[in-house]
Amino acid sequence: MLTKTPLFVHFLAAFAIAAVLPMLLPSYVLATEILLFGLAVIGCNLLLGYTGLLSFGQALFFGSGSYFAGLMSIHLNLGIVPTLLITMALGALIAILVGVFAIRRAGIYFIMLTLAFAQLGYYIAFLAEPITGGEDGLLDIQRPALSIPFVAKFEFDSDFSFYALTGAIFIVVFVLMQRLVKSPLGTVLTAIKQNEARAEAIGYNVKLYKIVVFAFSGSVTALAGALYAFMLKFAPLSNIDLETSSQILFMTILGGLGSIYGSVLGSAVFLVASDFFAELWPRWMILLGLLLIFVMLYMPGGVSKSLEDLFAKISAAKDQRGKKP
Amino acid sequence: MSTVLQTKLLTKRYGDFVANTDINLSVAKGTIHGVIGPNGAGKTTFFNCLAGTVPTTSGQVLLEGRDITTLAQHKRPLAGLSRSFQVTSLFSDLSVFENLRLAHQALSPGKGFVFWHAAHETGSTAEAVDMVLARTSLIGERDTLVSELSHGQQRVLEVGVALMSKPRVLLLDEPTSGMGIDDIPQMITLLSDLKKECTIVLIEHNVGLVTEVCDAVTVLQGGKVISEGTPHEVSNDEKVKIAYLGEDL
Amino acid sequence: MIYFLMGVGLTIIFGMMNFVNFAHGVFYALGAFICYQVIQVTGSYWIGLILTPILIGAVAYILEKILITKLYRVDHAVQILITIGLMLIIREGILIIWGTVPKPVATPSILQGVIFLGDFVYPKYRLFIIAISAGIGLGVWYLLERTRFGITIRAGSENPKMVSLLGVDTDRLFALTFVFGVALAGIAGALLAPIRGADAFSGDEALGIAFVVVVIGGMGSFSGALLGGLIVGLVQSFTAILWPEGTKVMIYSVMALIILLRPNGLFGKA
Repeated sequence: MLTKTPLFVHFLAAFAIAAVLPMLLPSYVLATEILLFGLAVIGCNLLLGYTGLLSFGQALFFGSGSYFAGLMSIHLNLGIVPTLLITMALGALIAILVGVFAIRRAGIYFIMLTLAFAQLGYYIAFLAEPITGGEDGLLDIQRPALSIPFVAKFEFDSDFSFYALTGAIFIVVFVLMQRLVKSPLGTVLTAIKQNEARAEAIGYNVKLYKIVVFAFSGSVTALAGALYAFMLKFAPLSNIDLETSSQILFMTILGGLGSIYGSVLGSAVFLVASDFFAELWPRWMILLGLLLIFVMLYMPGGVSKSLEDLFAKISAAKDQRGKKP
Repeated sequence: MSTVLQTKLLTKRYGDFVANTDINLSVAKGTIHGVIGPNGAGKTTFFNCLAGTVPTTSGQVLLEGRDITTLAQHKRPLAGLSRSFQVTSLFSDLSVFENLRLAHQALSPGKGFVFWHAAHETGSTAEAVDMVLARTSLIGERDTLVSELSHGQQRVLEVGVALMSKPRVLLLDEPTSGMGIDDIPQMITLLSDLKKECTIVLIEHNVGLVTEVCDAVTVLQGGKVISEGTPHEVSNDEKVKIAYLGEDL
Repeated sequence: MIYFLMGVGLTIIFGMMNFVNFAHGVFYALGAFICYQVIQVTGSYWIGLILTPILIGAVAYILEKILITKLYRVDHAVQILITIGLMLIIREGILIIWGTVPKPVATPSILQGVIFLGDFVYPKYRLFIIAISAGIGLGVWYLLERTRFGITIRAGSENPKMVSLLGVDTDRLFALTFVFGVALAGIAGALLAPIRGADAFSGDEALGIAFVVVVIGGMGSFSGALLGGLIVGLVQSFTAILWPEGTKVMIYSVMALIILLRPNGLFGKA
């Protein structure tokens, strides 16, 4: 199980992904979206793929990340690095709160609790109109700059510069996550996924580990949400809704559980397909529904592999990056 | 001989159902103590209370004189108490090595939360794992996936995982369950070997095995202790015979 | 009461069939649209209310036969994702047929206006909803607890194999249960249509509420759904007086509180 790929190989791979994506895609915006949703999917995969926890409330972390980062950029103007770090910390905090409640129950109750907390977050965001903009979303978000004192100040106004920023963050998180899943913590998570009772019996505090993985998932997902808000320069209410939760979940399963590479693939396939179909037909989601059923019924497990073939047929020109961990 | 594991008036209720009533048990150091009884006698419940898998309703569990009644299950291996499972309960998609390594890692509290470096697979970890591998004759299967082991090997590994914490008391839940006749002698050898360094509490269905390896036996029926003594004494106890024959008193 | 009606269909399907239906909310939305359509054609709300469960039951029956029946033995996670797929398809289908603008449904003229109950003013239509829901609740209770059909369903949820060995057609039984649960969601949609209109996107909210009802009461418990519905209803009414915008927030907070105190839900089995 523990394949010993040196970390710099993952670094090179992440670098290659970030470098090649824009060449294959029509816009930097789409490439940015793929990378940042890739982060959100990694967050979801930590829970589902590595620990076996199906969270239906990832949008809560994603949406909160959008709001926190947006609000900080509007009111505090801290610069990009502190803004994102604080957002991650807050995302982790919210995730810990949800985790503490949700892990009291297993199975279907767990799933429903995560969903209910996300809905709670949605309605709070909806209500807190003076702060979040309510239904209209949080408007006029500016992308904070990166200023290194006495050296330089980088602005991220252009699509390209913002893509570069997202790409750099993506590479860092990607490598860190590769490290995490092979670390002592990662191995305990795998153990919990495979056999919770035994993990407890040999001396692991399973509940505490679950809360810790929630914290990681929350912070990475909040980071993705923050980048999304900066990309749009706006934090829509929909970032925190049920639909976003199920999309992140779908990308995760699409890409393959328990694979950091698969996470990026899932995000890429989903977003490229959405982009492609959305132009053809406003009601394309019906195809998404069919695809979801088809994937779940006929391609359990080897989803990423099967889908490469499937999408290769549909959009051979667009999606040639056959990548499999 | 000193008492290493003791229960005082241990009672476990599930709602209205009383699974264990006032069980007093004393396990002497360095012995193999069998807990037997017909189906539904409350053996597994009792065992789960000892291991901390379920909370007790009332009464006490003492480990080397220390009250561990409310100690969380995950803290018991460090306290010196380790358990195995009746139905093989391993990390089946991981290698034999990884199963044992995880058990070893669990012994350093806080270690499992380390996420910034890769898991240790050499040095003292590897030594500890190899020692258990040698004892359980699984050295050749170090990198085999657990799901690919034979059933007998899985049963042995089940004990091996519990051994990683160097327990002073080892709780074994039907270690031979589902094992073929040919594999049982290996388990008996292993148990006799382990007896040198730790005390073993054994839940068993197989009365033959109990007679062969146990120094003392406690018989449960209907959640209560009905007989106690050496295997010889117990097997001559009328109450035990009746319990096993299923006759009404 | 209406919350009970949303929750009870979900809880029946889960309790009896161990099946998690994430498309439950969209059936509620579909119920409202079918009711709207029938009213457009016939001009009568009453025909709409009666035909809605029948038509939506027919839709559910077809879906059960071609899709749901394959899912009884799979993991909950798979059930959830597939029913989400189903939800997307039905919702987009609604948008294709009826467009993206929500449709208003008129309250039938007999039920317009208010009734004075002592010092309380109560809209007639809301009283009507309470009465109908209570009636349906009683009917469901009778069906599950007192009829042969109900006993077989409950036995089937415990041990489908045994029931089928005893000569009961479990496939048919499960299909009926599914149709029944979905029809209840449909009725809820039709009943609420005059208040909320028919909105394709109302399904998410309905699903959320249905889950809260069921989580509060305990999954698979009929009396739990009843109590859960009551609690949600009461919280809703009280907050509506004190803090009208905050009803949803309060409902979810109460749920969190109950789960904290009683992790199995009020009537849930351990």
